[in-house]
Amino acid sequence: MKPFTILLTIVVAASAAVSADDKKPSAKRTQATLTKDWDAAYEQLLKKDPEIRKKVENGEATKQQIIAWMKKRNAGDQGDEKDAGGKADLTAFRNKLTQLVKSGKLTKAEAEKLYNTLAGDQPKSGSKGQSDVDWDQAYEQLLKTNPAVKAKVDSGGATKAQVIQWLKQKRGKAGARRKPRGGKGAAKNALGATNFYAVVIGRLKSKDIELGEFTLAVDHVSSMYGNRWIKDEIVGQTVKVTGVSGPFVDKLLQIKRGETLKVRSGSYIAKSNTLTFGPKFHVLERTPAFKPQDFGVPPQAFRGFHGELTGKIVEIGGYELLLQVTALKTAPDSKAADATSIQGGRIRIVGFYNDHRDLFADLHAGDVVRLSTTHRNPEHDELTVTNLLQKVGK
Amino acid sequence: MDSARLRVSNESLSERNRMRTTTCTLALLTLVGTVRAQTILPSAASRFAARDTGAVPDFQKHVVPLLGRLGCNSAKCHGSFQGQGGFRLSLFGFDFHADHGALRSTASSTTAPRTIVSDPENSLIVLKPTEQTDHEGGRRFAPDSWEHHLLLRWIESGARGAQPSQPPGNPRPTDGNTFSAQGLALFNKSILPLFENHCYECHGLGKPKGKLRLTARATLLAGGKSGPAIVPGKPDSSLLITAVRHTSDDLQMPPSGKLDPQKIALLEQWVRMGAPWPDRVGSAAGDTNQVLKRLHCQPREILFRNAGDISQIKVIAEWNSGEHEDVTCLARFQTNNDAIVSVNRDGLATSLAGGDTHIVAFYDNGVAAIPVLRPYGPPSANGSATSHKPKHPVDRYVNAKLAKLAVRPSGLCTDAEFLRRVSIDMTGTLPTPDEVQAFLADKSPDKRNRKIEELLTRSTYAAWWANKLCDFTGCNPKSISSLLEVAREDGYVKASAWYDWIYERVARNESYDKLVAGIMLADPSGDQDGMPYFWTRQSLKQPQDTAISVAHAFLGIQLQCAECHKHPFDQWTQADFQQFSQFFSSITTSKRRSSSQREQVLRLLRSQVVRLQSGDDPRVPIMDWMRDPHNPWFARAFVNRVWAGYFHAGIVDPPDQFTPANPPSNPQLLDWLTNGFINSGYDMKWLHRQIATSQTYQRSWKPNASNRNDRRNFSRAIPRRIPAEVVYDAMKQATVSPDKQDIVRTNLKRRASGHLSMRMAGTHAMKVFGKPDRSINCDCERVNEPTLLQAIFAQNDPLVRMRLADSGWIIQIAEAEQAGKPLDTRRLIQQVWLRTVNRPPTADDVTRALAHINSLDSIAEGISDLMWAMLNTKEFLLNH
Repeated sequence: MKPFTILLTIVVAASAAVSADDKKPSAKRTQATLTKDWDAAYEQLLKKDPEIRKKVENGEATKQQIIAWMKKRNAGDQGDEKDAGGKADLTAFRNKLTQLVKSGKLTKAEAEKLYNTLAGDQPKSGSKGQSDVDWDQAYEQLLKTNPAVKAKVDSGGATKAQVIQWLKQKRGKAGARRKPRGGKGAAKNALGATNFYAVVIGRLKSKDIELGEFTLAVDHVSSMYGNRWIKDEIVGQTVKVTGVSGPFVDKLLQIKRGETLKVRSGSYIAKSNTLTFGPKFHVLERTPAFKPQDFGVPPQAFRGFHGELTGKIVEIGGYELLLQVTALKTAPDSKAADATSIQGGRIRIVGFYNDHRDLFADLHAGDVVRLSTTHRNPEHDELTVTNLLQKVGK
Repeated sequence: MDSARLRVSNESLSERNRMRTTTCTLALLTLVGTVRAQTILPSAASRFAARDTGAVPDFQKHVVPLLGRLGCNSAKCHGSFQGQGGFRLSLFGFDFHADHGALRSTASSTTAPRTIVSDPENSLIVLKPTEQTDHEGGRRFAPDSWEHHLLLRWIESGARGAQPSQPPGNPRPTDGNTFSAQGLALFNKSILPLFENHCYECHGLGKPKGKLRLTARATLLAGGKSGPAIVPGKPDSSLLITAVRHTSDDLQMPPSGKLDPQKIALLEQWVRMGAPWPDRVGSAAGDTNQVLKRLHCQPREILFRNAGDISQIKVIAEWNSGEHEDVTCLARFQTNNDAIVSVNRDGLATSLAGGDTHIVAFYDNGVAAIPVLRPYGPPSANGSATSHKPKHPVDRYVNAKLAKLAVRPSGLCTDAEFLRRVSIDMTGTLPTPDEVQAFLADKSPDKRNRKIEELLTRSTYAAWWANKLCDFTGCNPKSISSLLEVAREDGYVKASAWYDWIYERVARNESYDKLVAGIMLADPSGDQDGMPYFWTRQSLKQPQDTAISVAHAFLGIQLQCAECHKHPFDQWTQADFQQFSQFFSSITTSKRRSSSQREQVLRLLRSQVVRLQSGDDPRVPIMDWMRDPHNPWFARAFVNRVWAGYFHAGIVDPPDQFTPANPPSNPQLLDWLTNGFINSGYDMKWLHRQIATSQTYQRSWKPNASNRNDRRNFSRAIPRRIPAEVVYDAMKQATVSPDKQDIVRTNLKRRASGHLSMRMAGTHAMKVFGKPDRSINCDCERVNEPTLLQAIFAQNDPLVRMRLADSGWIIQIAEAEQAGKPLDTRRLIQQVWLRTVNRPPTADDVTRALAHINSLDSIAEGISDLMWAMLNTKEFLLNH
């Protein structure tokens, strides 16, 4: 069965499971937003819009570009929620930096700069920025304290996302909108680069090993630390990557045009649509052609999962791993529509700092682990490890 | 010994009599020069031959050198950090005070001291080496030998140690304190010996127990784990006194037993007087009141004629007191080439094969090298180097040496060889096909000199030598960046700025001393026209790292050994190293400013004492010293490195190992070039010109019968693999389309000898061909030797395949072929040769190439094959 068909089946099954109340128009829209099947949406769009179909047939636009455009449009509708998991990661990263300063491997100033690099536009601790707010909790609180809002939600007059959007606007306008290019709060250096520490997957279009540069048609972005809006900017686009040097020039030399590669970026320069090669946990390697399920993009029905997973590590590095799931145990509060949809599939899990650091350092690809995890933000593609991490075999 | 074999040459190979070949029997060794007029003390071997001699050995002059010669203080015995059997001596022996303390202390295996003055025969230090008791190191000398007698005499005469250099009664203030002559006398006479005898075993240099050192007043004041050892003026408050009084159960010293009451009283008196201590220069580990001035070796040069010839070396030590002593029996000897000459522990040299090298003698802090030379064959009148006197000074000095060795130099190389060689060595770039053809067609006699002048004006000359200067000075992008800056390429930006800064100065031929001053005196904030990144490197974490780096980059000397122990092949002691390091304390720790934080008196590598006031830039006196024409290393190191760049071997080789144990192969040549370089105002082009215009440089690589085995006297060109950057650039240049030739040769951003030298460091191509990462202080980081991996790389590396697949020239040929345009196959074949090996093909070459091309469907394919084949030839990969 083709992946697309599997995805479609999951979507249909999920749709069938919703209650009659949910089938009201506004509720349908909410569901569609949460469980969007981009392939199906793409096919739908082609049928509906002959202009776009013509562009695709003429080669003026690719499927990825269309999907990226739709995602972007969709994201614009929904607004943006801050990454609660990212904040925890940053705290752990700060702890790590503190240790490096204590051990003399970094100066305090360097650690501060590095933290700011990865923190991107995160407000500094102590400030009351948008990211400090647990919007899920605020939403639940509002429903309890404001019967009018609850009634509106219950009747389908408003979605959770819309309520949260309203809450954000109420608290402060800056956080309510998607981060604009170079807008307020975007951490930029003198070159106009916004910090964007992420793994970018795409097809090699051209390369210049002498200048340490290449261009890439971006298929997917994972492992992001902040500034997630850049993902929407670049997926489906061709971007330039600069700053490759030393042994990574050799790797670039061996990747042929058209082949898929993944690279860890450090920053994004919107003006020139350029990514810089990442500063740490260097990644630049050939990889199989992008298929969401191979790269740990969770199936729609799995999003919101909370529970335990057991599986084999496919790849590991940079405080995260890709797990081939062999068994799972769902927690009672899990929001996944069908947690078993991940069985046999791959999922990316992040956040192996602090208590997990030592064991994580001893893990290798091929090891079998059991861990507890939660999908804090179902829109993100990564789950976060929580308190359990156990090596159970090889 | 067979007297017939005991033939040696005792000639001094001066200019006057260097061609004399007389050999004579070893009967007398004539003392020459200043030594002749002096009274020379006989050797210790003769003075202590009898047990009942009245002579008294000196600790520094006799005991420590004897222990060194016997191997006691070597790294695998008592010179190791642990010290075999708990008995630790300083490695290579130059910490006289600690060594004396160790010899006078109690052995762990017995309750008795190692030396018993009242019973010398039963002292462990004589029982062990004579194997009268178990000794893991075996028997080092026989009972009743002169070595045995020497040690016994030293013990029974009081087993005294070395005296500090500061004489009593001539006090110098330390740390702002002025001590009375009486106090200093008390220290020198009673307190220091007491420390040596009872304390230094545990609290000397090395790893002191309780982190307490008693080797300087400051260390006593600083104290150890328990706190300050003394409170000057207050014996009752001083832990040291509490410890020796044994009044506390927790703190009792020495652990072996309480000191005599008189000694305790002396210590109390000393503390009460304020703990007087001579200044720290005087009390440093290696500083004693006896300083070795120099070593004289006889003969000064050894000329052998035949295999098996022998020569006895005699070593005379000259001390600052004027005393001369035959120390042959106490010296250590080594040969620098054991295929040419061997030397035994008594200094008897035996000729093994033709050639030249040195025998090196070590004694105390002195190192002396004795040239050893044996001609490769009988002198030849025909074609000998001496048959005519060359006009070029370089050739005169080189040929003079060759004449001694009876070596006939190779003839001049061909024009094509010369052009390729000088282009690679001077500019790191292959000549273009047009340039080769024009040069070969030029019939004028001065065309080589004109070509040299032309090359010196090219940007590629500046690029190549900027690249080399970046090698020497450690321009490594990863080292000059923080973690964050690497991510943003600031490291490459800075490294490229470093390169460009040097490039500009080489291009405009700024004097070398000025260029170095721009680095040495750079304002780390970058406010002035200097190059600050040398100082802001992350790899320079401690002042010691910076000291090592400066010494390597600008003086061609390796100081790192002296960080932990006396340098085994040089004069440098730990004290020298530490003093030199202190010059860089401020800039290394702050990376922002270089200024002395307080008034300091520092010794500058045994050359001078520098007084720094608070706020002074300590780098200034170093730069002034380096610029001094009499500086023994600064100009010499650069001259030698440039020479090595042309000959693949320095006159001092390895080029960054200027030590007395590694003397130049042709000192007169190095002196002449160095003096000329200084007199020219440190004009780098002058130096390049002198070397490249000499016949010595332009000699053929083809050896003759006499110089086949000579690799260090420049009698012929030694084929050497072209450097990594040149390999990369040459492959690119060889395959590029004709219209891109110029841009490929001049675009620094895309040349491996330009900015790519930073970006491509660490790539497979650069590693395989030995490009240095510039991460260590050693010229040896660049490897120019051929390896199997290089052959594999040239055959099928993706980079080579990419060059051929993307070759603009071959694509042009293919396009022309497809368009049906007529192609001159012979001309294309010629181009392949001109592009790769920079000479026209021979008739045989053309015939074979034509046969191959004709066997294929396409000329472009055939040319691609030919190009691949030529890139894989030795002729392409070697500079010859």
